Amino acid sequence: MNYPDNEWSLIIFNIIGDLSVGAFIALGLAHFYAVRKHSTQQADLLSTRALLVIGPLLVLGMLAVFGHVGNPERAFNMLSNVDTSWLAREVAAYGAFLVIGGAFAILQALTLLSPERQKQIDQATRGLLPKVRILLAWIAALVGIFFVLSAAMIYYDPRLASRQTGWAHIYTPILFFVDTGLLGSLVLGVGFVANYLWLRGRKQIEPASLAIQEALLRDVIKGVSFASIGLIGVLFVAIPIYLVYLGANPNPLNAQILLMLSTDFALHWFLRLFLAFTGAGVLAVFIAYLSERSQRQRLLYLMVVLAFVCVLAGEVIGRYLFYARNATLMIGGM
Amino acid sequence: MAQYGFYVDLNACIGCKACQMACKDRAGNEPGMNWRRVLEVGGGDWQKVGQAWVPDVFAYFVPTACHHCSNPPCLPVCPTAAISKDSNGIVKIDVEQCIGCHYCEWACLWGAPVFYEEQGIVNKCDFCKDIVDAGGSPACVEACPMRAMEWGDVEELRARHPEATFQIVPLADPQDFQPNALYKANTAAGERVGTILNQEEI
Ligand code: SF4
Ligand code: SF4
Repeated sequence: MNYPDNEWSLIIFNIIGDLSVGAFIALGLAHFYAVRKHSTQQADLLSTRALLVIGPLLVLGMLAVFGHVGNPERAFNMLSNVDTSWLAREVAAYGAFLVIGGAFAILQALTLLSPERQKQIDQATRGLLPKVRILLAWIAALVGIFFVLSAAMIYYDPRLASRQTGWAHIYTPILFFVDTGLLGSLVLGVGFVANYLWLRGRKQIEPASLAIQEALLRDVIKGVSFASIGLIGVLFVAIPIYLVYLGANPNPLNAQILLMLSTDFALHWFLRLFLAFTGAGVLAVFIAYLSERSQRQRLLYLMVVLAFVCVLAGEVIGRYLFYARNATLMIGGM
Repeated sequence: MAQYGFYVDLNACIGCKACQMACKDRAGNEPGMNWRRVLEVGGGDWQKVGQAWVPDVFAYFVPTACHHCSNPPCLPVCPTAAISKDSNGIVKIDVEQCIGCHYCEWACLWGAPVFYEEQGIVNKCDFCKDIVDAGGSPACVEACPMRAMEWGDVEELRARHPEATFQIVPLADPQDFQPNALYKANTAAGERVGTILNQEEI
């Protein structure tokens, strides 16, 4: 049995990419909600610092992928074939997401400046800045979704279908998008908690504002928990369908994958399902319950972190298994 | 546009691997790095007939390399456009352009692209393009002591060997990739299906 131990760079890259895109979009939704419920100022207070974590993460993901390719100094060659190669498209989308998302983050970071400075900037740019910012956010979100799609298509691509039978199933894109949603929303939950604790620790912020932030945080966490429960539901519907497909498909490679999941990788597989279910299912229900109440907040924050850690660990094992399916296949297709 | 291809008579091949060595020599490949590989396929059984044990085993060899597919899956998936197909249908990797992403390895059904750890690139059989363009024959074909291999325009090969096929155990089903290798099946196996015995070597 082959273990995909040389694919760690790809595993890290994919997880970071999906997590960042998911977090970016979830952040947008949370921001939108906070604006509607309160004000732009409160929304900025909620989301801007959390946004700034995504940038370094994306750079880390890029460094990780360099571990996979043999000649990272030729990285720009990878943009030569966007016409037909999903891998080229993925790399292009990742780069574009990094640049456009980065530009948006810089503009958004201006909201952290003092009100007087902001007013100056506003006058100098004739009030255009917020519009540009929203436009950039939309483009970055769309490019991010395209990144996740291309990443999934690399494996789902029917041109590889015969050999990568385990990959060429609708389960692959479902898995990638569910990962994006789960990791993105949960990491954001953690980010919001950290942001709130930071705000609370600072004396300058007004008590009324802090109370709004606390209420917003609970609302957003509740949203995160509902999203997690929904997404894990999708995954747990997709998995049996996928397993049945593997079992029913006449290609012997599929039987081999099933065998692999029930023997050498059985523990991995169990842990992957257990962690995902615990984090995004059980803990998420608990989080939703706690977020309705204003007591036991410390427990709530702890649960959010724990849920993210469980889901992340489950995803890492899941991606490892994803490549293990490829590593078991041999030359000649026998 | 012509389409070059290989033909191998699997009844004539004795598994000496001279083709593999000649290929390695011409490509300057280190040990273990093979563009052409010879699969050893075997199967069968020992059966008790009355009081006696009767052997009923079989073995044959399948030399294989890049099949310079007419519809090569490796080509469109390459992110750097390093893979091209020339006017003789030869599928070639531009090693100056390749970034070593392994994607063509995943795409190829027959394990033809080989990764070079040190240079960080992938390369594979180029049909001895330089030799062939200069009027010679590919190194593997030249080296075969059994004259089991032929090369040329695949349509001519097909006309010369109408019984030849690509559907040979253990080669993966070609789907619509149209690999340009033709094999005359070994008759020893009959209806029986063998397995690759030298998995570690290849
Ligand atoms: S045999 Fe493999 S490497 Fe050669 S052209 Fe076909 S798919 Fe590409
Ligand atoms: S390893 Fe090289 S030739 Fe193969 S797909 Fe990647 S860039 Fe193209």
